[in-house]
Amino acid sequence: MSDVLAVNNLKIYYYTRKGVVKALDDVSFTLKEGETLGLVGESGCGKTTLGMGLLRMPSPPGRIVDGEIIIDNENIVPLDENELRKRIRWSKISMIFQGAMNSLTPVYSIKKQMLETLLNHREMEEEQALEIIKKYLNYVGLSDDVLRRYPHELSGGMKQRVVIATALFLEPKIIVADEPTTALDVVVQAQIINLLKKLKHELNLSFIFITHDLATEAEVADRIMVMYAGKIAEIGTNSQIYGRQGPSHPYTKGLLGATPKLREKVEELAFIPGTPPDLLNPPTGCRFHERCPVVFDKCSLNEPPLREIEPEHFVACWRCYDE
Amino acid sequence: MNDEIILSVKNLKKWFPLRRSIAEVFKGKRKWVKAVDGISFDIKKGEIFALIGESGCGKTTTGRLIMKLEELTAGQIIFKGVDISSLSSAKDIKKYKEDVQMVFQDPYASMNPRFRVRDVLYEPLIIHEKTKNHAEMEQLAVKALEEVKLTPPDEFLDRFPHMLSGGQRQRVATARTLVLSPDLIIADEPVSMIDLSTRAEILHMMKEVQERLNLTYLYITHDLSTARYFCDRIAVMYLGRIVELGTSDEIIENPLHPYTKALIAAVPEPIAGKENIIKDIPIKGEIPSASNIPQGCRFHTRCLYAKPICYESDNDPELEENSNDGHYVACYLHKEIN
Ligand SMILES: Nc1ncnc2c1ncn2[C@@H]1O[C@H](COP(=O)(O)OP(=O)(O)OP(=O)(O)O)[C@@H](O)[C@H]1O
Ligand SMILES: Nc1ncnc2c1ncn2[C@@H]1O[C@H](COP(=O)(O)OP(=O)(O)OP(=O)(O)O)[C@@H](O)[C@H]1O
Ligand code: SF4
Ligand code: SF4
Ligand SMILES: [Mg+2]
Ligand SMILES: [Mg+2]
Repeated sequence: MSDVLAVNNLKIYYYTRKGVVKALDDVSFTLKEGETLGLVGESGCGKTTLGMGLLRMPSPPGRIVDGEIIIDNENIVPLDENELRKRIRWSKISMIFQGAMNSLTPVYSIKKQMLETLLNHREMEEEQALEIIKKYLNYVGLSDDVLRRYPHELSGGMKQRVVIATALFLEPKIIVADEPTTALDVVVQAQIINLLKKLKHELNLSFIFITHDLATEAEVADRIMVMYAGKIAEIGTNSQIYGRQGPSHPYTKGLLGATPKLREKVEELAFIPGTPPDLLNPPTGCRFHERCPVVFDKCSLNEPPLREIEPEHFVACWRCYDE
Repeated sequence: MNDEIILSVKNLKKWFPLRRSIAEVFKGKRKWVKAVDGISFDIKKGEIFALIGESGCGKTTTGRLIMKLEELTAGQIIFKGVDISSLSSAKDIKKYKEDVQMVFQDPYASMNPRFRVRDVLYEPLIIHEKTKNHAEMEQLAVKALEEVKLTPPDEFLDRFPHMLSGGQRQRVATARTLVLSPDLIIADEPVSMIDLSTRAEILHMMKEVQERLNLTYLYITHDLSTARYFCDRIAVMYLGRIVELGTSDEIIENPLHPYTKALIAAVPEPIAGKENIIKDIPIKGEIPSASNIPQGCRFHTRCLYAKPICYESDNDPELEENSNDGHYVACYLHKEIN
C-alpha cells in the first residue's frame, strides 16, 4: 500500500497572551491508501489541532510553525491560500468537524446549507450541485426528503449523516473524522461506524479517525496512533494495540485499563492518576513522567524518541527499547 | 446491602403537555409528551441501581420527579415508607431534599466560575440552614473533601473551578452532595466528551464513598459497560417505559428483551480484529418521538421479532419476572424468543 499522506516533524503552536501553547510538537506519521488511522488521547492532547492542521486550518491564534504535510507527493505547507482552496482542501482532504452536527444553522433548511457549502467550494450551476448533493445523501443512507427539513427535525444520527455527506462532496481521498460518534447514542454510534466502513470500502477512502475512546478505535482503526500532551506516544496496528500482548507504552496501557469492557467482568476500573500537563509549560524529558507508574531517573531528563520496536510498531518510551 | 427498600417507584408517569395548533385547541384535542409512562422499581438500601437508555427515554425526568423538581402526572414515589406526594410542610420537604441529592456527572457543566470550592460546599449548608457558624461549616466542608479524597483539604478549599481537573471538579460536586449526609444520591451522567480515565477515576471514587458511607445510588447513564462494573442492578428504559430489569450480570450476559440485545450488540469493545467487520445491530429504524408513541408494544416499530400481537394489542406488555429469578422483562414473546 502506498502512502496518501505523510506528516514530517509537524509543529503547531498557539500564540496566546499567556504564552506559547505547544499543542503539536514535532509529530511525524504516515497514512496509507485505504486505511483508517485512529488518533486517540485525552482531552487537550492535540487531536483537533492536528486534524485542523492537516487541512491547513489551525484555529487562531494557532500557526504551523514547522514541518511538512505531504499529500500526493506535494508538500502543502508552503502553498498559498488560493492554491489550497482550489486544489487541496475538500477535494483532496476533507474533515468532519468535532461537534459539526450540532452547529448546523437552525433557521436554514438542509438544502440551503448543503448548497451553500458546495457552491462555496466549487463554481457550478445550482442544478448540478443538487445532483451531487442527492447522490451523496443517498450514499449515506438518507432520502432526498431531508433536503426540505430543518436541523431540529432530524435525529442526531441523521444530522451526522448530513455532515458526512457534506465532507464527501468534492470526492476527497482523505477524510479527517473528529469525534464523529462521541455525542451519539450507542446504537446510532454503531450505525455511523458501519456507514464509515462502507464508505471507506466503496470509495477507497483513507480516514484519520479521532476519538478519546479506545473501544471505538478498536472497531474502526487499522492502525492506532496514541498522543499525549502534543506528542506521539505510540503507533501500532490494531492487533499490536488490542491483541493478547497489549500495547507497549505505559500511557496506552493506562488508557486501555480505564476502558470498560462489557463482556468481561472486572472488579475495579483502573485510571491514570493526575492530569495531562499544561502545554504552556510542558514537563522536561518524557511528557508523561509525572503520571507514569514505571518512571525512572532518565525519564525527566531526556525525551524518549519515537522508535520502531518491531515492524510497524513505534513507541516513545525509555522502557521499551532493546538496547 | 440488605433487603430493606429505601425507594419505591410505582406506576410513575410524567406527561408534558405539547403545544397545540389553534384547530386542535378548538377540537379539544390534547397532546402529550409521555416522557415517563408508567414505570415501577424498588431500590434497596446500599444498592447502586442504574437507569439506562437512549437519549430522550425519560431518565432525567425520572430523576427530577424523585427530586420533587417536577410534579408527577400519576403514580407514587415512596421514600423510606412515606409517599413523597404527601409531604406538605416546608420542613418535611426540606428534610426530604437533604436525604435525597442529585448530582450531574459532567465536570465541565454547572459550576459557577466565581465560586471557590469553599463556597460551593457552604452553599447547601446555608440553604438548608444547617449552621451559620463558619468554623462548623469549614469542618463539614473539610470532612466532605476528605471523603472524596481531595487531600489535604486546605489545599483545595480556596481554589476556583479553573484550578481543578475534570476529575477533581466531579469530586467537589460529589462532596457538595455529601455535606448534607444524604441517604440516596441520584447521579445523572449525560453523553459527553469526558475522558475515560477521568470517568473511571470518578466512578472509583463514588464507589469508595458509597461503600464507606453505605449510600444508595440511582445512577443514570447511556453506558452499559460502566454500569456493569459500577452497578448492582440495571433497569433498561425505552420511550418512557422499563423494558427489562435485573442484576447487571444477568442483563449483560443473558439479555431477554430485543431492545437490550440490540444495545449490547452495539457497544464497542477494545478487542483486536474487528476493524473490517460490519457489525450486525439487531434493530431497525429510529426511535419514535415521545409525543407519538406506537400502539401496543412501543418497541414494535424497531423490533425484529414483532408479530401481530405486538402491534394489535391495546397496551404495552407488562414487566414480568422471567422465572422467579429477579430478572424482569416486558415483551409478549420473550418465552418464544429466548
Ligand atoms: N484556538 C486555541 N487557542 C489557544 N489554545 C488552543 C486553541 N485550540 C486548542 N488549544 C489548546 O491546545 C491544546 C490541544 O487542543 P485540541 O483541541 O487540539 O485538543 P483535543 O485533543 O482535540 O481535545 P478534545 O478531546 O477535548 O477535543 C489544548 O491545550 C488546548 O487548550
Ligand atoms: N419540561 C419539558 N417539557 C416538555 N418535554 C420535556 C420536558 N422535559 C423533558 N421533556 C421530554 O421528555 C422526554 C424525556 O426527556 P429526559 O430528559 O427525561 O430524557 P433522558 O433519558 O434524560 O435523555 P438524555 O439521555 O438525552 O439526557 C424527551 O422527549 C424530552 O424532550
Ligand atoms: S519514558 Fe519513562 S516516564 Fe515516559 S512513559 Fe516511558 S517509563 Fe514512563
Ligand atoms: S412485545 Fe413484540 S414488539 Fe415488543 S419487544 Fe417483544 S417481540 Fe418485540
Ligand atoms: Mg478535539
Ligand atoms: Mg438526561
